[in-house]
Amino acid sequence: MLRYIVQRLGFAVLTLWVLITLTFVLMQLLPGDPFVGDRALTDSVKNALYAKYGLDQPVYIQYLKYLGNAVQGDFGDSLIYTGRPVSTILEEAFPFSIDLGIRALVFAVFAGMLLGITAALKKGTGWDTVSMIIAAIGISVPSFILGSLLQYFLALKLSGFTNTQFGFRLLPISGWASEQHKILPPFVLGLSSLAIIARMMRSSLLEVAGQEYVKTAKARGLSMPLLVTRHMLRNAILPVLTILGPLTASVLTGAFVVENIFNIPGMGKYFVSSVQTNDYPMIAGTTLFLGAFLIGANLLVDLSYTLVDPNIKLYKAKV
Amino acid sequence: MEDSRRTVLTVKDLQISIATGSGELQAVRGVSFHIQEGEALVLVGESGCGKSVTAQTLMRLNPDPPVHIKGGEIRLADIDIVQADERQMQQIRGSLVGMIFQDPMTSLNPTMTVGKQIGETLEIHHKLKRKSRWQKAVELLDAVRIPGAAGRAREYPGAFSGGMRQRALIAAAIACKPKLLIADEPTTALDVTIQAQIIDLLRSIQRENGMSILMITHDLAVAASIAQRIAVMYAGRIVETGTVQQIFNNPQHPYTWGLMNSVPRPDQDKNSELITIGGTPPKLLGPAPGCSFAPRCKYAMRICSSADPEEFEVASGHSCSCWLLHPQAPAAAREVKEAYAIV
Repeated sequence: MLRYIVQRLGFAVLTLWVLITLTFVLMQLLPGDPFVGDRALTDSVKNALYAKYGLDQPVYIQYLKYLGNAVQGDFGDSLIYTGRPVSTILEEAFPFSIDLGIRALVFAVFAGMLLGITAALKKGTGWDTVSMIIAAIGISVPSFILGSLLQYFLALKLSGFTNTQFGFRLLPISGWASEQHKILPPFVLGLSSLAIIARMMRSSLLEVAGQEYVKTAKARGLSMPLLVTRHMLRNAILPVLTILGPLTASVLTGAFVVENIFNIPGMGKYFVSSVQTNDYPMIAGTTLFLGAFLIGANLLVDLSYTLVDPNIKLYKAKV
Repeated sequence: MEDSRRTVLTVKDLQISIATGSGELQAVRGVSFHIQEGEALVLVGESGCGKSVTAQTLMRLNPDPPVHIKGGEIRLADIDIVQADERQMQQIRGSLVGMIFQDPMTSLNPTMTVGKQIGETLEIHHKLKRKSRWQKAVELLDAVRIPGAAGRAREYPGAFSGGMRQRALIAAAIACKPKLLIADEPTTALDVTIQAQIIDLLRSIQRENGMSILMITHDLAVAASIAQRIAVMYAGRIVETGTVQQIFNNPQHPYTWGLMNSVPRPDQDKNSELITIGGTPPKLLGPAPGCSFAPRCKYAMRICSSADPEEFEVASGHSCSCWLLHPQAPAAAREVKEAYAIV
């Protein structure tokens, strides 16, 4: 187990190196530079700025310096938010993003599995149809449309109605202050993942339900609830577990849109704007940070296989 | 009944239909049989003749729909199985009747230890505590002749071979000492040497526990090695039933003859072709009147394709549904019969 983790961490370092190198290459290929802005700068000022941030040096020197900084986890100051280190900005913004992301993922996993399980157990009934319609909506409606619609109907119209009638606002439109603020954004962010999990859970459970060992267990006198919890769920959950890694990634990237809609001060804003403004240290910082986060999430998913299926061994057993 | 032993299972005129996309399939069309305490009855027939559906219906394992009991009666130790509700069935499954299936490779849950799966039966019906359950599971594994049972119980099915898995499944099925063990083609997926061991094991369990066995098979050799009585099934009906001796020494139905002839013999010329029964079984979506075997039968008469054959008693305990046995059947037909009886 330990050997496996060390091995995976080795690969993780390699992946991160490829990631930051590619990011560097892409940044070099981006047209323009951070100081192309509204105000025209004189050449002497520009040269001074280039010199200050080392942008006048040859590319390979820039790359090595950049690599050295990345290894130390220090990306320097943002070129746009002058005087603010990238690490500080990330430290401030990350808690919002992770809070939103975890809420969305937890919602997606639990509600999605519940929806999928009930749909499978009540296959062919109205409940099954309703569940799968919810899933279809979740997959096909983009979060920016769903977010805006919910903002309009729930947060503006309905909350406005409760405000005038009963004197309280049901749901706030934007922000991330109270628990009430934290209902709509995770819902919007998690819905597509929920849909994917629900569909996967349903088909996986239906497949397991047709297995011989379920029939054999039924022939032992097990009731349906016992059959499901003991024999079916554990075997059906593996495919769902497999997509949790990619889903984490999609929730993270989706968070940028949702943060924007609900005006949440997370990382999304910096991630998008840094590319637009050629804020090199910021691009490198956010990319590397998110990359490391995703690699970690995938590792956790892989490790969790062993908990679910005892037949999966992550290392070769010593013979 | 000439036998003083108690009857464990009585099936009377059982009719089962399966709803399919192209209509109602009459899988079982009026099957009757009974099994006595400590007796082994084997249902023999080719694929699709309704023997597995019959066996699984005895435990009501098939989902309804599509599988529906249209009529008839199943009595298991005075319990009306057809009328029983799901909760009653749960109490019956595993305690009164145990069942083992065709494919041991897929009949064990891959993510649960073998010992736990065996103990499950005891947990459900005897409410045994974890420790005594485990102890009993190890004893059972030992009883089905798995070496190193204590260690083996802790393993997952992945570490078991096919023969060992079937033994473990037998152990789970007999854990609560059921009155009846249903074995649905238990040896079909195993190779021949393992087959013999499993049959041997089933026979000794039957002897030791006084358990009745209903075995389903298409293999006459397997049937002969375990059965006291045999019922030959064809197209959803039992066409002939009798003791092993009666069926093997004095078969009466042309389908039974066909089955016997198809068994390869060791003294047969190696290069000679295997004997088969020509034609295919009838489609049961809308069966034609008369004997279902008539289109494949070499000895079919005119009446065979127009009227269902009556059941004739050949000897005590030996009956057969075939028009050839009718007193008015042509003498030629009777000669055929007699020629066969000498086998």
